[in-house]
Amino acid sequence: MLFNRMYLCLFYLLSVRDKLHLMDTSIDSDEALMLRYAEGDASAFEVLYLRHKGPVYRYMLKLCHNEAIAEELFQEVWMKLINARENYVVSAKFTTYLYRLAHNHFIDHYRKQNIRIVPEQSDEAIEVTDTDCDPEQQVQMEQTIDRFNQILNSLPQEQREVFLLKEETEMNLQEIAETIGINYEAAKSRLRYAINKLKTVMEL
Amino acid sequence: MSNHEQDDKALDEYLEGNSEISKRYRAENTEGPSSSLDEKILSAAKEAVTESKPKPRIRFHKAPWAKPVSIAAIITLSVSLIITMQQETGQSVMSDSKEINGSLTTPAKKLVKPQSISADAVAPVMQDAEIKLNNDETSYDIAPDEAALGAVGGYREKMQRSKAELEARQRSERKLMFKEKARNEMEKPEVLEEQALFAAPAEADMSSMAAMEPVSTSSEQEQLLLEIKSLLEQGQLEQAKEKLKLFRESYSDYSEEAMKEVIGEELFGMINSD
Repeated sequence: MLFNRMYLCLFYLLSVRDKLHLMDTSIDSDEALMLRYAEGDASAFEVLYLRHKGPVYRYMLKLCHNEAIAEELFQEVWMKLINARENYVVSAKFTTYLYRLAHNHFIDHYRKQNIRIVPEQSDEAIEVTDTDCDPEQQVQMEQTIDRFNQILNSLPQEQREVFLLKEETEMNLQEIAETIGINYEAAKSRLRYAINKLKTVMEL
Repeated sequence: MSNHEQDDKALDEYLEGNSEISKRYRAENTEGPSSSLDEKILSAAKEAVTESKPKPRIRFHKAPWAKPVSIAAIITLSVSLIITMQQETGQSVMSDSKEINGSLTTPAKKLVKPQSISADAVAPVMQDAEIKLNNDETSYDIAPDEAALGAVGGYREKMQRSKAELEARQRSERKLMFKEKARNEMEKPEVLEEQALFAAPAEADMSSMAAMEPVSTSSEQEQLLLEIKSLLEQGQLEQAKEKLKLFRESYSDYSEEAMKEVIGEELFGMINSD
């Protein structure tokens, strides 16, 4: 009986040790890189930045429709991350942490400016081009892309944000909901509306 | 198919991945921050690290003290486990009781000697002790029942075993106590006198020999009186008178009748007549 207990204790200690080792095996994960940066490894931050700079920038750009503001917000988000490095604890996926930071910063920015986030164009304002005419193939493509972006930009901010998070981060609906602080059903509903509207453009 | 169902289907297709919407979005949207912004952020990140370089966090398994601490923890854990197990199985209780019993054997053996000397004297005391012990045992009989009610499964057996051991230990302690009490009773002067009366000289110890002293004194007196008697029989009356005088001075409490018995009535009357 005594030996059984001793074996159990040893087994527990070994499993704890294995868990600690497992954390090191995923050394290139976002979380590990952030921890390394928190320990003072600047090169880890560089890897992390290069991995996420494009998606975060596009997320900001598509949300605020203004390149200058997007760059400003983008820089501030990364600065926030840099300043928060010492307090970083792996409690969720790094992507969730980063985009929550970006989402909150975007909301704060527009609250401070007292600006109402409105779509650039309403659905009704979009002119649907006549496909029966015979434009060139290239022009057709460009027009389609323009229409797509027009529809995307015309989506309500909430729907657009869910779509952007899905496209840029490949998070699942649950993670998206956690990032922007809504429930799963709300996230699903917003994405459904966004996809429905975008699909109409594709079908034209 | 209703509109809602169509929307759900479209959503499911989109969530499965590789939808036309995703392809089109990714083909069109490839913007990124300017290189100057990249440099700004990266240099800020480097500066932040170099300005206040925090003490590197040492992971437990990488720390130099990890192995000794782990070994010490394992040893401590093992030792405490062993101790706990011993306490649970009652080994320590058993060993304690053995130690106590071992320590009791010496005084117990010492006690046997006076007991053998005067078993009759000790008997009433031991009888009292046995009665008291039996009365005490009745109170212990309740404990296992309570344990049986409260305990569950194997733990109950363990509890009962340890209770029984504890009981045995306490019983042996009580026996020792009463034996000691008996010895104290025996060492009282009146008991020792009784011992002296009944004990064989070969078995008597120093204390009982001390108790024999009054007997040896009376025989000495008799011896002296017998000497006086022999002097009288030999006709040495003066010497006999002197000796008797000395005897009376030294043993003033010795009765005349006792003297008369030892010396004899006629001879005693002969000394006193003159």
